[in-house]
Amino acid sequence: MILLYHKVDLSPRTMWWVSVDAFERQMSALSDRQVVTLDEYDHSNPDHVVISFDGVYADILRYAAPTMRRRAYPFELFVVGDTIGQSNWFDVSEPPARFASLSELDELVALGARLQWHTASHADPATLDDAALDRELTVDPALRAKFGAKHFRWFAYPHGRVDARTAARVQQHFAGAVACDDVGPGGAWGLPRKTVVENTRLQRNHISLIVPNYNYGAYVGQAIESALAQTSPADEILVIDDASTDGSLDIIDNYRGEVRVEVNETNLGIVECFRKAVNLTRGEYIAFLGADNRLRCDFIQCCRELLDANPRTAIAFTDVALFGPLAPWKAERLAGHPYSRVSEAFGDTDTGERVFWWCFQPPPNITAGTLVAHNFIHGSSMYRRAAYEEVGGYRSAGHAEDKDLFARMVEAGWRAAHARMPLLEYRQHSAEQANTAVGLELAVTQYRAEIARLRRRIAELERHANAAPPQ
Amino acid sequence: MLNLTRDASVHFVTPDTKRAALNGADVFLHAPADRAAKNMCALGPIELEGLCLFRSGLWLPSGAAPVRFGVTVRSDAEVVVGEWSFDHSGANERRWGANFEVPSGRYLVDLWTMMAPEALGNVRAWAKFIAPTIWSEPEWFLQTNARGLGRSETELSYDEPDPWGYERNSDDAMRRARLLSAIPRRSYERTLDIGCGDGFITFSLPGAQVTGCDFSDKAIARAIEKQAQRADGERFAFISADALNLRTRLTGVYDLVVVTGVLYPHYIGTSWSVVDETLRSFMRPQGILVACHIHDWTPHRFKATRVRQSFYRYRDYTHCLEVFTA
Repeated sequence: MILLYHKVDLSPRTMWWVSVDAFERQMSALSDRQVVTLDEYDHSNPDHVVISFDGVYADILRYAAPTMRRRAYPFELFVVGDTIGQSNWFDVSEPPARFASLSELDELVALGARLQWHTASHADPATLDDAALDRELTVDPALRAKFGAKHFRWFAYPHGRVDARTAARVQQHFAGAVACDDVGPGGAWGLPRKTVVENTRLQRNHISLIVPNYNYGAYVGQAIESALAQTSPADEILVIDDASTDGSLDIIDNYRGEVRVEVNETNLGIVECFRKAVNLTRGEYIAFLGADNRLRCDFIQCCRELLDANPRTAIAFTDVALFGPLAPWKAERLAGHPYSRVSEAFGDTDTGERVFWWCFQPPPNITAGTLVAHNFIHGSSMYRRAAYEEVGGYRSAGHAEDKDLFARMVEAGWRAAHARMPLLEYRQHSAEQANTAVGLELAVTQYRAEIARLRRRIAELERHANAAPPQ
Repeated sequence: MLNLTRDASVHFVTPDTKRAALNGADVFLHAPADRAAKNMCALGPIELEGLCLFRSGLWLPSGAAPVRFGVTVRSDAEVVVGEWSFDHSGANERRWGANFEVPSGRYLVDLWTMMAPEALGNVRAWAKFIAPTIWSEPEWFLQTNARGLGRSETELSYDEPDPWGYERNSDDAMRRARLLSAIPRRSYERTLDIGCGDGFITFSLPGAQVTGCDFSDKAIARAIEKQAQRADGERFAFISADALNLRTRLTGVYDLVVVTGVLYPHYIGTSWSVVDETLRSFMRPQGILVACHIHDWTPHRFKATRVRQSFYRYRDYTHCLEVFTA
């Protein structure tokens, strides 16, 4: 697949713009594929991806190139020779934009770009005589001299039109050519490209995030909020309530527009409730978030990338931030854990609050035995449904159901991968210490929004009633 | 740059002057039922020279039939220099433009609408030219570098002191108090307040050195006036800077970074990752970041450890106040 971008900027202003956030999501989604140069590209390999930009717009340097460098992705820039450093004044229906200057192209090359040719002035070949067409297809010798033989080997047809006369000449001057649509004539002289827009989705795997709740009404709102604030959103969020008796549903109901809600009529207990939840969802990747915990905003993105990167990885686990009234006690207890380190992240002497980072140093070979003895894979890790089904899912085992599940996966030969960031916020509290303040705040927030909505509706109905003509 | 409705005199040329209107920078025209006649608004005379870029948004209400939008440029002597038109349909806004080159002189620019040939008698065809403007190419080039989403409105607001009434509103006194009490009490050497406005919160923040920044030059000017009247004025510094370009203006890291009411789409677009990276780059390891925003307008995406979170009512909104460390 060859991806085609034009402008990457803070906001998408027309269909030719992609926001930085969308671009990041799209680049992140390529973790399960191989990003290659056009020279290396094999069109028949579904895992090969080329990332190309036409223009070349100056904003690419600031908003796209750093991501490419960070991920070590090569990328192709199709230059329109006459527009280097100019504004897009000739593009009557687009907002103002500037093309990259020569020094900016230099910087882009340093960040991993290859330069290619997209004609001299983007003129429509059908309107040109032979001499003019030749001029359009000739790469400025100064550019060739400056950038060298690795560049300008490929051509992109302007205006998406591939005609025989142009194609014949292109074959004399270039190693290959790409089209501007995803149909294209195909073959080495007209490879199709997929135009990427703001909501183009490149992710192949789907993520199901499950929030099981039992009597954590005070906390579940925060958990759901953190699930909704992900940089890489889950494809489905399922909140499953195991017949809570504390009014949790009052909070959960307020999120029904944004998450799926399932309410068990009777309490099923952890194992049965979890098994039911997994069966109700369909994503290839699953993560459970305890109703009293929270996710950092990049939890899904980081875990998904780890699972995407290797089909034998069944589990993506992260470091943890410990918070809550019992955090100091837990931190002390963990001091002897062989595969981790605990450090203080935050302390407030006025309130006594302390937050700790619990960071893991797993052994090179993770065995089931290791996990059973000294678990470091938190229940909120993201895992592969295929592995879950292969080992028979959650079951009652005498010890923690999640530790048991992961141990069986590892036993069956699956790998576990580690994200070295505290992406899970793990609340340490006792049953009595339910700090209800934040839970109530969120509930009040939701009620207030509902009241405002109802008031508006009443006003509307009253206006309608008053306006009805008298009989 | 000539915003045609603000900078040129407007003269409506239609049989029925009620069928056209000016609305700020926009021109409303009602396409006539008779397909032969145009509904037209003449603007000018204006001075033009060289390469001119005409740009406008075009808009139709839902249910309107297709309308042909057009622009005609005439010289003083009524010679038509050029005419361009575009058939637009559907209830949406689209951008349109035409480029032309003229010798130096005075010109009249007509904006007009006509019913598209196949759609007679459609009375809903109120058509709008949105902010019709003529640029020279150098002005257009400068625009390509302009950032300032939301800047001009904010600038206009700060023509008055305290444009949103923070000093008079108990909700703002409350939000300032909540924010200050959410900051863990320790000694801070360097503090950064992003979106400081005229210093409403800045002057109460802890820190041996407190720097406030805002993208409104006028707000910063007001903050500096207030600073001059304070005995501890030396503790503070104010700079005019866009949150996303801060790194070009400030170096180093801070022990405490406060950001309030800035991280909204109308100021920073929808690119949260740029914001997150920029703001975190100002935090020293295990420094504190405090963010307070209207909950519904902000997606809350800092890649840092959240140590405090609370929600409370602020005016007609809900605020989310969060404290992070990294």
